[in-house]
Amino acid sequence: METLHLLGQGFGVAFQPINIGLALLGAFAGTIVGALPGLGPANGVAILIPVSFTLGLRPESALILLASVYYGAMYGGRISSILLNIPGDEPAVMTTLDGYPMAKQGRGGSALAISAVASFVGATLATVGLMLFAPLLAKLAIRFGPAEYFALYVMAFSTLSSLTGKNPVKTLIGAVLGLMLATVGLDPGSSIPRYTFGQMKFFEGIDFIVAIVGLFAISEALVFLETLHAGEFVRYKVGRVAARIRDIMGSLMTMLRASVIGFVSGVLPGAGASLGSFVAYTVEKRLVDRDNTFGTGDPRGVAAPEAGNNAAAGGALVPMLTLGVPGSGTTAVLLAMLMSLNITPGPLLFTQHPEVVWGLIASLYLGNIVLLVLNLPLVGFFVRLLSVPGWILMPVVTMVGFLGVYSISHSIFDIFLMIGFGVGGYLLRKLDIPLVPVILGLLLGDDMEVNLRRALNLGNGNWLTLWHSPLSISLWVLALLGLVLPLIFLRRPQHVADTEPEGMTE
Amino acid sequence: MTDRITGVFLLALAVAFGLHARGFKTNFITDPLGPQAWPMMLAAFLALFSIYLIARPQPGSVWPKRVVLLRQLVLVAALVGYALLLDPIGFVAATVLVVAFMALLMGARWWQAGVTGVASSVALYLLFNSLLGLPLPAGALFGG
Repeated sequence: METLHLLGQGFGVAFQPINIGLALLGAFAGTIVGALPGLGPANGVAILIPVSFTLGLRPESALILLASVYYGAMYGGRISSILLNIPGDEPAVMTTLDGYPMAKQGRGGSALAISAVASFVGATLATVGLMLFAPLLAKLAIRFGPAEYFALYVMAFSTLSSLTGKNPVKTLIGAVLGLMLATVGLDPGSSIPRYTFGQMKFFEGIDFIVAIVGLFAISEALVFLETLHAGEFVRYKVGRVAARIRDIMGSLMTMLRASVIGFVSGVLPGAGASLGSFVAYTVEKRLVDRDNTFGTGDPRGVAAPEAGNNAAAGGALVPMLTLGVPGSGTTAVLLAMLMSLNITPGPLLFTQHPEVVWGLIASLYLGNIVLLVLNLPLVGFFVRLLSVPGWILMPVVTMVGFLGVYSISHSIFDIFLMIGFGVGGYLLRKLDIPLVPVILGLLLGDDMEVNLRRALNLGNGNWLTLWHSPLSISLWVLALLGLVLPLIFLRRPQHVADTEPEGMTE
Repeated sequence: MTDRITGVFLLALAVAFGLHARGFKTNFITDPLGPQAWPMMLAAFLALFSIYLIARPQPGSVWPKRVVLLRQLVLVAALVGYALLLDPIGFVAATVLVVAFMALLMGARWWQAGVTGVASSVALYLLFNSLLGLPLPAGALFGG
């Protein structure tokens, strides 16, 4: 009952004209971002953060805008996967497996329709899950002390390392590099400058937004220059965007199962949407693929990853809002935005800023309906966007990122720092060191150190204090399991690993 | 090979990072760990991981050909140049130049690049300056 009451208040926030407008705008912009080949949700949200600052939005409005972009990009990502065989981001990779064969057979329209319905089912169920589970987790998290938080951060990095990327050690390297970047600035304990090299600009630490826009947007332009002459895309006739009722009914159970799997993988801190779509696809293939049609254009092979990754996107919001630990790259970017607005996600968010949490949940319900409309009857518009040439797209995207950063800081120093991060991000991508752990490290580094030091302070310097309570012991065990179990059970099939894009842009 | 070189570089970074942390001294005791311990722990972990990378490297990455590499360097130079030109010649002129240049670099014909440059620069100026109310340096063109 309490939930319904709070949800009612949330709809009060979501139905304010400005928030309805922002949800519509975000859903639309997000679908565009997702549909454009090579642009993923993390990029899209990163580029739009500065814009939401300059609009002077209230925190709940800014979050509604960017979360709608996030959901929209998850919907839009399927369009270029299905029609061009180019996933816009990592979670969309699995959609190419059956989506592209369907497009080749002239059933692209049908694939788009089924995947839109699957996305809607996944995203809506995940929003229900977010509504039911986030408050419970927040209640549990109130009992977290510094030791528990430290263990939680360790767990986030350990699940991240074993579940993403080709080489777990490289993921860990990315995380440590991010944590190192976070130490730049005044020491939170004693206020002496660390790694600032006398630059006053570094005293406040490295601006998340500058780092994120550089790592994602600028490095994307550099990667684009490489793929320039890789050959023209082949476009197949889309056909009518409609699915036979039989196809939708036939994949309904798949969608429901995939949504649950996706949501659970999304909730795991650090795991995210790629895992959701990957596991959903693999499980469905084992369960229902009796005639070996998966991989040759089976509608269920399109429905499973799409329901899975959209549900994971919603699931990833759960740890981000309740614990301040993002479940995916894009939620990391959302976290950066909230922190820049002086809102600290965590259990207290639910009591101190209920309008932010419940306004977001309510507007996600609305946004999903809008997205279903945008992605079924109006999908033709987004399909046409696929023919925008890269030489228009990339310079404009780079400029929006550039101007965004310039507009928050008006400092040439930050611009140079951003370009530096762009070059660095490009090098990391070439070295197969994923970017998401770097961002996560940069975001969580301060809190991780502060909580470690606070815990040891409370325990008078005794390291055993870190696993003193049952709660912290369970978190350490989960961290250990997160590191070990996937290495045993989740061996990725080789052909899937090969088709993964190099950058983690989920 | 790439992995080994990366590993050596990261190991050097870890050592430098750890050594630099020895300089963080306070006159009063704040907490059992102090400002040094955390950076040193990070340095130790990075050293550990980079040694693993040196010992067990995986097949190297594919690096771009020289032409592409040159284009990428030019792109970075263009962005740096843009940041420097923004104030002196103003937003509109600088943006026309850099967008047109980037478009050329990315395979547009010269007239396509020109149209893209002018159109996107005007559109972005209207969007940011007029619609979002962000002051951009107008430059000589607009009498700023």
